[in-house]
Amino acid sequence: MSVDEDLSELHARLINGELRAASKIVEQAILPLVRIVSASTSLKDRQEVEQQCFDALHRYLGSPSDYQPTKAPLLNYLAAIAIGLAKTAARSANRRILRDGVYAQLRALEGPVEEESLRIRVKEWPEVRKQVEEDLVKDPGDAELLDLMADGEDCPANFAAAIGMVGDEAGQEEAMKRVERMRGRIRRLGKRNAK
Amino acid sequence: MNKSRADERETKRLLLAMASSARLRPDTIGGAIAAWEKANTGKDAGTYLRADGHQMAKVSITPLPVGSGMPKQAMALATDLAIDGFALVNLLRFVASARAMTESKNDGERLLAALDHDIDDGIDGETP
Repeated sequence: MSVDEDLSELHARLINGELRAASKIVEQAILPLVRIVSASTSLKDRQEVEQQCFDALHRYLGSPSDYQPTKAPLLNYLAAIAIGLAKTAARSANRRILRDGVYAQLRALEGPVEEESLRIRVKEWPEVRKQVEEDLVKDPGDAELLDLMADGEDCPANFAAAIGMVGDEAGQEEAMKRVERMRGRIRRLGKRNAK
Repeated sequence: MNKSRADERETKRLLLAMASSARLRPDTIGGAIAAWEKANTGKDAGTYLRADGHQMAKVSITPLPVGSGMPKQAMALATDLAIDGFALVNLLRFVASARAMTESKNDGERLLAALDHDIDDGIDGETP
């Protein structure tokens, strides 16, 4: 059975009130959905891409009858929602950058902003911290991760605990991926500042 | 469909991440679990539902069942996921009553919501 056939059957079960089908749909669709959306949008931040996919899935699960199986496979429907959300998020981010002029202010800092120096600056300059946070803190738990990183924390279990994940291997893996993404955002911020 | 081990790990990670985002959504069971934990300081919903992290993720991303069919749907879901069905029903009733009280416009509505909750579940929403 193909993914599309699996999802079609699970959709029919969900429509019939079988709640268990919801998490089965997510398990089937989430990985291909993230890959499709990653390849189809200008969003560079993997965590943001994933969040748009989660939002698309939540939107569908909250109102599954909006999906018309005769028009397109469920994965295409979900991808269309997620890509639309991703484009909106990208436009919103661009508008915010222009409005706040945060990078103009960051250019006043000397040289490229590396993670280490950003740590100190983020701690020492509350106003810049507030503006930098808008670019770095995108999801619940990001502020806690940023605080731990600024304090030099390196224990995966502590990162996992800070974002409310279970302390097992999968929870720590997710926490460290989010830390890596945070580092990526800081690097991109530094590169833009260096231009 | 056969998935590689790497894909399985990635799927599991994404499921956990989505469950985390579901806690912010009142239309999911994850949102109800977050509300229950906020109202029951110090209690762990995973322990209450007898669910491990993966089971919690699956139940959290599920849309919130509402209305008269809620107990039946919740019990069926709990049976499928091998978690405590009575605890899940009580948790969902507790949160439904708490939300009804919060959203009610006057003392009379609040009293009715509180009475509904007491009759259904016991004062603190614990399993009878």
